[in-house]
Amino acid sequence: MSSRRITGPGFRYSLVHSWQVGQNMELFRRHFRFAKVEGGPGGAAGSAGLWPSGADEEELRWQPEEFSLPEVLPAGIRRKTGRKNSNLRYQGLGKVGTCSQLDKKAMVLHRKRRLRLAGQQQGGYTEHDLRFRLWYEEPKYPERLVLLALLDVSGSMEEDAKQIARLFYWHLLSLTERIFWQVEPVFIIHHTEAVEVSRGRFFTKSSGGGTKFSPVYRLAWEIINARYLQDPSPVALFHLSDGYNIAHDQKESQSWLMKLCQVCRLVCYGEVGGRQQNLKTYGDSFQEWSHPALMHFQIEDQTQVSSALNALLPQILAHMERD
Amino acid sequence: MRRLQADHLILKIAQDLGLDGYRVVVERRSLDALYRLAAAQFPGRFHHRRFDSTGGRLMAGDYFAHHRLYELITYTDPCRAFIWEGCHPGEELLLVAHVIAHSDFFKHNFCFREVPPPPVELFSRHNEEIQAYVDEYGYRKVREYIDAELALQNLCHGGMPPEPNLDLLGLLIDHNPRLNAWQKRVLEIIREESLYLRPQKETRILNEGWAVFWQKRILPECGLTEAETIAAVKLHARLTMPLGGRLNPYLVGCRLLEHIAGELGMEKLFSIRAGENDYSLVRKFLTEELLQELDLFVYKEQAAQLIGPREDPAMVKKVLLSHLENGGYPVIRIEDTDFAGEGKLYLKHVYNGLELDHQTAVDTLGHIARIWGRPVLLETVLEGKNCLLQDNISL
Repeated sequence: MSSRRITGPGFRYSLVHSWQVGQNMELFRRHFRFAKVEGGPGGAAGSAGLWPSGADEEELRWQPEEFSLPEVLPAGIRRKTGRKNSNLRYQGLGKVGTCSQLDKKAMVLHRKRRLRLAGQQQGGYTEHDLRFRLWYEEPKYPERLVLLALLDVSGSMEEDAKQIARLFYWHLLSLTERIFWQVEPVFIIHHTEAVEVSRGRFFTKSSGGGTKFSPVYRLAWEIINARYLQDPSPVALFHLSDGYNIAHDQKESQSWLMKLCQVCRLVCYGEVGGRQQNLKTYGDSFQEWSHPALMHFQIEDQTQVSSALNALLPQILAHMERD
Repeated sequence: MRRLQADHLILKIAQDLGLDGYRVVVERRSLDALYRLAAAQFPGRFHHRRFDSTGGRLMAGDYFAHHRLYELITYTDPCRAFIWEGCHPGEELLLVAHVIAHSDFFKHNFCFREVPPPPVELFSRHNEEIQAYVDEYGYRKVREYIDAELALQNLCHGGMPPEPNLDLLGLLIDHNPRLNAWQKRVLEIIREESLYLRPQKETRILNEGWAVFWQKRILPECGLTEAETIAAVKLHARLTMPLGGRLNPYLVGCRLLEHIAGELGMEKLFSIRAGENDYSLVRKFLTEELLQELDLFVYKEQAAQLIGPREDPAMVKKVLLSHLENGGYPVIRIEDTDFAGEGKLYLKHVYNGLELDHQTAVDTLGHIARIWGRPVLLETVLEGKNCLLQDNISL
């Protein structure tokens, strides 16, 4: 009886090679992913495949590797790929450290000086002669991010556009949560009036009515002033809309946006859904003025959400780096 | 005092509704103790490190996945039921109703009748015996021997008519001249204890369904306060909630019994309690509509295939049935005890469409070979091909 290994409970059916019974297909699809097999599950399985067809399939297949995220990998691999999540700073020499950081030259010099001060001609090394190079690993990004998510739910936003916006925010939140220790989202929806809502309501609410930007910018500005002015963590503001703001509101909303640019690290304005011909949108006005903290982008349909995020993320992260 | 009265009240209501089980002794335990009990299956059973790891796994399930264990009932006479002491009073009443229905099932179902319930102190008696062997022969020797035997505990058969071809543990006890007396005795203990567990494995859906079916009917009669009702109903809903992809025996069993009670009446229900097990219940009463309503499906990870209840209901039912066969364990038949004239043990896996896990199969063969003392062979099907496995220690 040499083997000390405890195996499982005797003969049992293979979980991989034999058929299994499940219940509640919807939940199963959401939580379970088959391991990769030759040929791939999508094509081979056909109608019995796990993933629904069309744009959703694309969305579900997203892997964080596709995005230009900072690497969270072991040091060796990180060095090879050259991307890193923190900066190293040289802090001088210390008496305690790892062998790899032992500074031999400093050690020799220290022994010499010690002997000279003691008036001795010769003597061996002691542990007091050891000198190590000290490095401080400084995280590139702050620990906490305040993310203001503004969403236009007015009648002019079509259901498709709303869906794009929700998808965008959903992935934006999950991606930023990978980089920052803590992401504090503030959800605001608006038509002609703005209101702060919960996460659940934000992702489900569908409203109607006209579109006016100044109230929502004003509310965001008030929230930042009330809650995050004393807070050292950076504030990022995102606003997704179809861009058809009421004409007489252009000036006022622009001045509010200017104010927001001064209190936020990043203000990102996005237009979603297809554009109607011959109609000017709010985004067109950014040709006339700009601000280093201001970015704008456009997403036309659901398949572009991933590529838009991919293009945006490095820029967003560049804004968020520590000073 | 209030608790005691409530328990009696529930018992009275259950008897009025036609339930008549063994006496139930209800005890309140901490969560920690509950998981330890659940891992060892019987109170007072001998300690083994595998029980520790099972208990840890259960506790992790509680902590990470919110699969809390609320009650536990042992098949003994009288039945001992353990309920989590942190329950809300309403939840506690629901659980008492639940265990009373279980004890009724224990008394009447044919699977349990084949193995009459053991006296409560049987397991501690076995424990004392094993402790005596530990004192005499050393902890390590006995423990390693039990390691091997626990891997085989499902390979026994005690029902009627007796089938010596399926009773591997019985064979190892009776026809193995290489074993010492104490080794034989430990084997006997393990075989006896696993025979008591067997009917519970074979009637999981029916047993849990029966308990849920009755707790739902007993509770409104108890005159609960509003807060108690809410707590109890919440717990009931949690029990019968569809899990994240796995089959929920509470939900499936309860729905099947509700269907039968609605279509065929209560008398039929009572006869089903007495005369069916999971396999026959599902085979006879799980219709296509129920299959779709319960949203049962089958999947094969290796082929990344998934078949829903609408696409191929016959296939779903077939796979479900093969999983319920023999209490969910593969059927292993003894073909030859002196294969090729060299004293080799030749086993055959009765293939029902489900393949064995290769690694654990080889390891288990090693355990059998340790007890048998000669090489052990197993004929089975792996990845669609017939093959013969040999244990990993005599090679």
